Amino acid sequence: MRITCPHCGNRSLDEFIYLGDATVQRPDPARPDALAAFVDYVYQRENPVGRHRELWYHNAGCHAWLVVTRDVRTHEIFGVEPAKEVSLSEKTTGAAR
Amino acid sequence: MANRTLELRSAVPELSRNSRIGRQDGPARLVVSEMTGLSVVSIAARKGQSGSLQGAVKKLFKIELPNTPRRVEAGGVAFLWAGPDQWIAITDMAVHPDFDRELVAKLGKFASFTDQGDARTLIRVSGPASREVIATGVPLDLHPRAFQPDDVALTHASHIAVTIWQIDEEPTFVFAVARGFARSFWHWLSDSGSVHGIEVSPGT
Repeated sequence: MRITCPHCGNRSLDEFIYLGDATVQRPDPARPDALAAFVDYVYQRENPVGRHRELWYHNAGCHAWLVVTRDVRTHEIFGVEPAKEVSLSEKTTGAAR
Repeated sequence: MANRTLELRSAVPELSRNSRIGRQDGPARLVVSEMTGLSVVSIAARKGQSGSLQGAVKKLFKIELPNTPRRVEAGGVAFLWAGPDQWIAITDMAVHPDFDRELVAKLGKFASFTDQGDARTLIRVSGPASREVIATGVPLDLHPRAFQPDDVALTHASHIAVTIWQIDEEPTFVFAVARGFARSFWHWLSDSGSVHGIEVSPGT
């Protein structure tokens, strides 16, 4: 598998480290059900088939966190975005959460 | 108290003297030397200040800081892309002995500057076998159609993190390696290159 880093270009898998699900959102600690929400946030993960959004770290390259949209069955990659931009746009649009 | 000065010492003693390594017949097909006497400073733009930094650098050095993996040079100072909103500046230590402080004084509002002069070892590799030898450890396509002078890449060489850039079409490549890994890097480079004959010339 190869990942096209938006900064460095097309690179081999051995330059990257996999973190996991990019769709989870850190809950607001002030929420009344914060404890349960954090248990879900930390421990509960879906195990989807097909297209998934994941966090990858370009460890042996530009050290950027990336959000990779990938088919976990075929390894086909549909998009790679800098996690910083994803996070900023979620903040400005107030998406998810 | 006695006035003490620290002695500059290479991380790779094998690169401090002339030698011929490996194959002895014919001209060496790999030429290696350590680049010394340079000031190396890493630059990281402060949050939201990348644009202002680039504007100020343009005014000061008549240079556009690259936003892609490229190297630009003007007036004896080279800037290399080193990741999003990060760069490495390299210049002659004799002309700019306290380059980090110089940059902090002029641009400290927009970015953080850290002296890397004793943290990175710069190794220059040239000769007709250079692409072939580098390909034994670097997982990048360095063919001229894919990598050209002033192209920069952050990657690894034989599992050691490096910044690599090309400076001319001979071709000549430069590796910046963390000082603590420089001798391991040399171990790989000298092993991989010895079949071609390596000429080591002391740093310039």
